[in-house]
Amino acid sequence: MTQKSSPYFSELRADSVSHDVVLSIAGLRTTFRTDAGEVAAVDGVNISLRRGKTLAIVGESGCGKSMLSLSIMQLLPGNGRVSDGRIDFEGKMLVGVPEAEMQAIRGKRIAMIFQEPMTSLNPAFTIGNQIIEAIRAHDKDVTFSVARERAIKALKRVGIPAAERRVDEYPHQLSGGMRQRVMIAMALVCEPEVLIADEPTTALDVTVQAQILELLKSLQNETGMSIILITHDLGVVAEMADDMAVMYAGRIVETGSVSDVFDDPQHPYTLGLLGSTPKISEDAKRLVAIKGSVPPLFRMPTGCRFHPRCDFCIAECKIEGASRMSEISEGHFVACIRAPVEENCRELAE
Amino acid sequence: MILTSKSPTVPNGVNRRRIVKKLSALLPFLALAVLLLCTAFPEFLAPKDPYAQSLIRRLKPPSFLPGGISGYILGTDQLGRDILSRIIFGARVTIITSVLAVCVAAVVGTTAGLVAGYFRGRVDSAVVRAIDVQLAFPVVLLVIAIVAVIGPSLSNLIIVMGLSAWPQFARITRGAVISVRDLEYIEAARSIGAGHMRIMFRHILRNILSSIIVYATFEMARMMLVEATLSFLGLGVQPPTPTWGGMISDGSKYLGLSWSVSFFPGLVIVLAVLLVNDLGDRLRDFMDPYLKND
Repeated sequence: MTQKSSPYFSELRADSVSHDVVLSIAGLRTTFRTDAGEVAAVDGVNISLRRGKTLAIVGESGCGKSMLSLSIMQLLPGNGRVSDGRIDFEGKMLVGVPEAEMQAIRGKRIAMIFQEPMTSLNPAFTIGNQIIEAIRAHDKDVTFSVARERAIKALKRVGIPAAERRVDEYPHQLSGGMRQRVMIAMALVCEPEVLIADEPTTALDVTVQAQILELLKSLQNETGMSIILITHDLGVVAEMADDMAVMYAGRIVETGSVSDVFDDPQHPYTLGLLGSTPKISEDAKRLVAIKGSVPPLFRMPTGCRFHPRCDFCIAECKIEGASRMSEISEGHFVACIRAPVEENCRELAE
Repeated sequence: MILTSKSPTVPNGVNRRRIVKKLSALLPFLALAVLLLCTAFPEFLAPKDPYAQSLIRRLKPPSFLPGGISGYILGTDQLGRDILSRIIFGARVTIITSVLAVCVAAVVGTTAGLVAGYFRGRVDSAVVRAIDVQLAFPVVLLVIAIVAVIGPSLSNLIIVMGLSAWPQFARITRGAVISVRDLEYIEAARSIGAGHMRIMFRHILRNILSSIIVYATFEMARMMLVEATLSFLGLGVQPPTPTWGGMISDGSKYLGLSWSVSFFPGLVIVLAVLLVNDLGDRLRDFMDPYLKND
């Protein structure tokens, strides 16, 4: 197995595939001012989203995946800011763009759907009004009646029955799954190039989850949009995504195509995640949990941030530079000096 | 057995009670209608000309008491003018000034509260300081001082009364905005590209409007009292235009000779303020989704 180490991994990657990359993020650092000083929720993230493909960002709660998506949208809470790095969207640098320009991009070219469909719709307006608003926020020339027609069409497209009647209903009259469909209709009504879906199915019933994922997939085939799917559910990743990035404590630890990462996981954290997922094919065994818990943001370990919880940890893991990205195989990067773990650590694992 | 023997009488009693309850529920709306009619068409309702003076029949008691003159139902004041007609005409000044003053206060206060609660930071501190400073002054004293300086015209009165009441609106709005601004649907609105103005005045305002409207009703009752106070002190709308507060003030000099000149306008003020407060209570119950089960 060839191993090309490069600290300039992002540029390498961007060069090789730049023609079909919609959104690329390089060295992104998002920090928050707190009483304990400045902490970084996202620390040096590099990812790229291919046109018409789905990139899944996986990680446990608090690893910074939601902050990553809010950094792209520039909707960070008041005490947060992007302090370093680039976000390139269709040849345009998004970091530092004036708010007015960002407003024209938000919803129109990059849209977002949220985790909680129950609270993401304004209870004071009919769902039709909210979709119409999304249309008219970007095109003031559209008349109300035309926008209404488009809203009904958008509701039909996301599979809402009796859309002509539903368009005048209030959010509380709809079920959770229906509301998430409305959120999707609202996000897609301006035909954005990129959709950021922040745990779109976490709050829904399992059967409804499958429907929503199916819907997203078919809409993607229809419109050719690219999706950033944020989730902690590896089943959803396998179902939906083309590429995936595993995030741990504000950093990407492993990225590659879904088949590469699932079939040949290299980072001990990815191994742990996959090991803690129940499988039907295997005999019922006790699931392997990753020991310990995510370190707090203001007390990050040096070197590789996973080393205190890692079974393969050696002295070199604890010094700076241990989390350097290296390419294990074509397009499959891992931030572990011990990779490929299976070859290097066979004796340890046994 | 006891139950069955009693049962025929029970529904009757319940029915009677229910009818009385329904009628009493209608009463404030009837009163409101009368008040509004007095404001809109006092010429048609007043039995006499409120400005017609007659020194012969001055300070007469109500017509239903000994010494009263028929046709002057509530008696006459120190210039022989019909008190009932003057009360009816006085409604207009009180209602118009207090409604408009509440509008001024609501617009200024809500805007300030929205901006403060939405943007927080320095804007917020500035608005909160301004609120604190103004709340440190007694409202009536403040209004008296300003009216005394710029003169007591109707429009001045409305503006000054309105500006004296904005801090309460700003405080209520600010609190409500802070509780709403971090909700997911506001974030969702931003994610579809809505600007600050749109979010503040559409998404947030619509969600907190009910508490502002209810507060405005209570504030309206308070404004009626402030207006009456100012008129009593001679800083309100000037004579000979009839005002409730002014009538009390006029009558107070003749209390030894005739109690009715001050008593009836005072009674009307009490009733009107009670009425508006009651309507505010009903409005609050009506607009509160948690009380809508019955």
